[in-house]
Amino acid sequence: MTKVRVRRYDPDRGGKPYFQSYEMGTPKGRTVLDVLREIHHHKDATLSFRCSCNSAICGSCGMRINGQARLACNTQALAMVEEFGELTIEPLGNLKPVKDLVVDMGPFWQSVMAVRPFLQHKGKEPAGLYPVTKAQMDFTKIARDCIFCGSCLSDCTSREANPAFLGPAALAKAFKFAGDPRDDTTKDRLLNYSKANGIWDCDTCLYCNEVCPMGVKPMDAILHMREMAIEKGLVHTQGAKHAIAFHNTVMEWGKVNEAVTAKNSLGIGGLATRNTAGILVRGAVTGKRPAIFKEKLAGMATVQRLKKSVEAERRRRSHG
Amino acid sequence: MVKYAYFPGCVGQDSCKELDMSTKLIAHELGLELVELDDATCCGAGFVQDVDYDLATVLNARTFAMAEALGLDLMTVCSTCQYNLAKANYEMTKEPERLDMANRHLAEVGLRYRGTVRVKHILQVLTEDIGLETLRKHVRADLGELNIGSFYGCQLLRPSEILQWENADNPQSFERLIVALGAKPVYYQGRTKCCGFPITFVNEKASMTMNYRNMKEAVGKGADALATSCPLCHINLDMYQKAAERLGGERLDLPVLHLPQLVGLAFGLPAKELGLSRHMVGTDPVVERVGAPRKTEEIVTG
Repeated sequence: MTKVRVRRYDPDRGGKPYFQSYEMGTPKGRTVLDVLREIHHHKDATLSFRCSCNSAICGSCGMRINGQARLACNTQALAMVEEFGELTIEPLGNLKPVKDLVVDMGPFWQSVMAVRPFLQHKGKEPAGLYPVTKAQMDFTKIARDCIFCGSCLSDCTSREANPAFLGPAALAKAFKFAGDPRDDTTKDRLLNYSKANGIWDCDTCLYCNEVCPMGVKPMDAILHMREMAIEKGLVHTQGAKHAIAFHNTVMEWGKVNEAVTAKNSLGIGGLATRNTAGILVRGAVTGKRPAIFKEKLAGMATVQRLKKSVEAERRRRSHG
Repeated sequence: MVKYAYFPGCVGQDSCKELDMSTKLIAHELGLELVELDDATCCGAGFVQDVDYDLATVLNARTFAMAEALGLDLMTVCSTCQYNLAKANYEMTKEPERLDMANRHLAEVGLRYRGTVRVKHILQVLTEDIGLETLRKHVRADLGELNIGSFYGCQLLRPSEILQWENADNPQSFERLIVALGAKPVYYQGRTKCCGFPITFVNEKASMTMNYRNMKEAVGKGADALATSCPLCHINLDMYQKAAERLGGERLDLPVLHLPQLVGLAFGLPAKELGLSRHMVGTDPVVERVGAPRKTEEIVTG
C-alpha cells in the first residue's frame, strides 16, 4: 500500500489548505489520474480535480505531482512512488486554487491573450493559399504543440517572484506568431514583448522546457525573440542593453569583463542608484569584486576572425 | 589518474576567483589533473546567444576543438558554463548541419571539431569519476556539526534532455557529496530554483525576491550555510545578500560556499587559501564550527 497525500482546499468551508492522506495500491500501469478517480469514486466524492481526454492532449489535468508540474493522465503513479517513496498531489503553482486541485486559470488566459495570439495581416489577403515553406514553419516548431495545461506557468520561477511576468506559455504562443512569415506585425510584436514583464524578464531557469509534457520549449522561444528583437534594432530595453554590453566585452576581451559590462549595461547613473554601488564598495574591502584591468585572450585575433566569418555568412544568406 | 581539460569560465577567475583557487587546491589533493584552457572564450552565458546565437555556437566549438586536440573531455565549475557548452555540443552532435556550420567557420582559422568531447561539471567529476569513496578517504576535518543546503543552479539540472546526468526534479548528487564530506544535507525546495542572477540588471526586485525566498527557506530548514555549484548564483546569494535582506526585511547572514570550498574545508585545507575570507557574507561561523586550520602550517596531517 502507498501513502497518497492530496492537498485539499474548500473555501466554502472556510478552512485553510491541508493535506489528506489515503492508503491505496499503486500497481504498475495505474496513472495518477486513475488514483484520483479511485479516491473520488470509492473514498471521497468531495475531491475536486479537472480531467477530460485521458490522452495527454486536452491539457486539463495539469497539477503538481511530487513537487513538479505534470499531467496526471500520463504520469505513472508507481514511478513516482519508486522515486519519492510516496505520492504527493497538489494544485498547479502560481495560480490560485478554487477548490482542491482545481485552480483559477483566468490569469493564465489573460497572459496568453495579452500577446495577441492570432495572425495579423496588413493589406489585402492573398487570393489563394498562403504559401509557406517547411523551413519557415520549422522555425516555430518548438512552440506549436502547446496544449495550455499551465504546467510551465506553474513552475516558472520568474512568475513566482513577479506575478506580472507574462510567463512561458504566453511567450511561446507569442513566438509562434512573431516567427510566422504570414504575420505582418513582427516588429510591433517584438516591441510589445520587449516591454517590462516580457521576454527580458525571463530568468532562464529552464523549468518550462523541463516540465512541458508536450516537448514545447518556451525558453528557447523567448531566446529566439530576444535575438530577433536585437536584430530589428530594438535595443532600448535594459535586457537588450545588458546582453549587448556582455556580448561586446566578450568580443573585446574574449571573456566577459564584469566591470565594463556593468558600467555599459546600467550606465554610471544606473550603477549609482542600484544595489550594485554598495556591492562594489563592500567588494573593495573583502576583495570580492571584478578586476578593473583585464587581459585579453591571446587568441583574440582568431575570435575576431570567427565573428567576421559568421557575420559575413549571415549577410550572404540574407541577400540571397 | 583522472584528467580533464579545465574550462575555468569568466566569473570564476574574476569576481569569484576563490572558485578557481579552491578548485585547483582540491584537484591537487585528489590527483585530478587539470589542463587549463587559458585561451578559451566565454561560454556566452546566454547573453552572447541573445545577440548572435550562431557566433556563440562557433566560439564554443572552438573551445571543444581545443579539448579535442588534447584528447580530453572538458570540466566546468559553473552551472551556466555547463549548460551553454552542453547545449552547443548537444546541438552539434545531434544536428549535423550545426556541426557543419561551426566547422565552416572554424576552417577559416585552421581548426576543426569532430564532436567527440564530453563536458562535465565538477560535481559530476567528483561524484562519478573520482567517486564518493575516494573523497571520503581525503576527509580530515569534522563537518559533523554543519547543516549544508545545496544550491544547484538551474542550468546544471535543466533541461535533463541536454544535460543528461541527474534527475532534474529530485537531484541527489550534491546531497550525496555533502554526506560523503561528513556534513548534513538540508533539503529545501529552493535548492533547484533560480537564484535570480540572470535578471538582476533587468528586474532587480524580482531577482532579490527569488534570492531572499530561497535563502529564507534554507535558514528555516536549519541550514548553517549554502554550497553552490555556480559562481553566478554565488554573486547573487553572497554579494547581493544584503540587498535581498533589505527587500525581505530580515537579516539572514547565511554564508554561501562554492562547492570546491566545501570540499576543501572537509579536506582540512586552510580557509584563507580556499578564498573564504573574500566573501561578502562572513564565513567565520562555518570555518569555526569546522575547526579548520586557518594557515598552511596549521594543517594537521596523518
